Amino acid sequence: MILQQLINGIMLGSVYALIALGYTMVYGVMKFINFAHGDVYMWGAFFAMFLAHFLGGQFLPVLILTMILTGILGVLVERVAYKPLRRAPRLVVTTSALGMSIVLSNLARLLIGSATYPMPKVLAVHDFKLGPSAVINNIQILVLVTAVVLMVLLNWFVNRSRYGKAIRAASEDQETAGLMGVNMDNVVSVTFFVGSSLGGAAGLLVGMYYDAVYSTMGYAAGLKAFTAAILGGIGSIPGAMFGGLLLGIVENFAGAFLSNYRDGIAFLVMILVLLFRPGGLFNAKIYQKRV
Amino acid sequence: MAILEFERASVHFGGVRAVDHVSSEIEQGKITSIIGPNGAGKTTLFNLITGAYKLTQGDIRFRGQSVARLSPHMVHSLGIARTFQNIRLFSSMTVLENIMISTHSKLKPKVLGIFIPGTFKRVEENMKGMAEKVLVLLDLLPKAGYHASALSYGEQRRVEIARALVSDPEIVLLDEPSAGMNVREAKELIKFISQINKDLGKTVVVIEHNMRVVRHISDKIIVLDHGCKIADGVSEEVLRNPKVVEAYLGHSRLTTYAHVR
Repeated sequence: MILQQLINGIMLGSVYALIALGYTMVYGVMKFINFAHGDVYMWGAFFAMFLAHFLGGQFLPVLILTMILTGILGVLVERVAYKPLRRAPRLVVTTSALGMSIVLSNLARLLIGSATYPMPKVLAVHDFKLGPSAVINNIQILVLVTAVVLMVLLNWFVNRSRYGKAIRAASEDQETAGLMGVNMDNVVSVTFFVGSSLGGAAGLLVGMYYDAVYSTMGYAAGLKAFTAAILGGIGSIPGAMFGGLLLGIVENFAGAFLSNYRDGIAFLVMILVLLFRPGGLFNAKIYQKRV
Repeated sequence: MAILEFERASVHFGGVRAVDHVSSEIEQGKITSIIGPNGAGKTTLFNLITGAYKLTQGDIRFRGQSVARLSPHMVHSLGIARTFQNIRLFSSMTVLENIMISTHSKLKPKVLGIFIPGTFKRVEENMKGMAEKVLVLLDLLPKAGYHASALSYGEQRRVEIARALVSDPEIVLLDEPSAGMNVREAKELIKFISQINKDLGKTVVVIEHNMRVVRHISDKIIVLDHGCKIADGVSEEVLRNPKVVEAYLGHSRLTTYAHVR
């Protein structure tokens, strides 16, 4: 029972972490909460559904194409809704993000429909027994492995690559980064592309796991992932990963023992953490104000 | 030959004329100092050159081409690099990374190449090579792996200069490089600035308050006060100019006879 809840929690948490990374990366560079990210994730699930339909049971091509398409969607959202507001107060950009969120979810309802759609089978399900009462299936394993691989790749990208360095520099001081010859438009585009493509991957994984894709799925998942990002310390990449895992595990245990209070307990944990560490668990120095 | 020309350059913030109708020239291959009391508009002028602020009026031309409408990274890629009055290193990154950042505008391909593994590796190594060369020049190689915030003040200043030099710019803008330095460090700085100018062949523009430094290095001095240019020319001449003396020391019978030493 406990092992089973832990497995479910880690799996759910790794998906939260993938989505949370999109919030935290955009916050790091742009200093606002991209509330449209949950809906970008939802579109990722729809892209995955269509791709799985046309490509059939090939997981890797579906994953890669989903990530590319969702990444492009994220870049487009930025161009349309945020780029014209580059120098506007952050509250204005956040409001624009809320508007974009509504536009994206309504667009999905208009173009695709408001029903819940099944995800075409990418894999046949096999169960593996882990001890007397715990079961894990191959889709859960795939979700977990994919999430971990993507996070390792992201870490490598941020720490080692040229644009990763530029993203870190811009998180610390955007103006100086620009004056040192970094093209901020490109950095912002790369940030949105990477963050959104991770959201798209999460959309595919969740769609596969629950075998359901629908136009409002971005709302709850987005809110949870946002909570996870805050919990870990927004702006911090390891924070988002850890916050996602923690939230997923807490939520599952709460659901198992106090089923009606599942979400309430998840948010209670966030409030408790923030009371003692207002910057989140991985309080990144990155966004401390320069004196 | 003038490499950088100001033509009635002005920037107004509301009613404040931070820089007002400044016309002057920076000669290629020379060291030019910009001096003036606090709030005279010296750093603002740097911000105008580098595209951090936009001109309200007038024009600034680099090799005859206007830079007034360009964004900061474009100005940087043309070959104008700078340091800051208050150190502005990326404190959570290592010294090497700080310097690698500044090679961005010199690198190709711009964006899509980051997803091609071979190109990616070549570009990264290229960046690192450029950064290490500058670190050797500034005697900072042993510190390459340190976090920028772990370095001493003087070292951080050197990292800033390294960061300005790594992109091999035509013009290096130094904003109060001797700030916070003692006499010995200032002397070393004088030597180093001449080295940048003579050995590396860079055009150098320096904002300085330390008259000892200004006197030693300048081929030309531009004096600003309240956003306006009050004098420019060869150093001794400018420093004896009564208007300059007045801007620095105020007007009284005593200062009429004073020389800025």
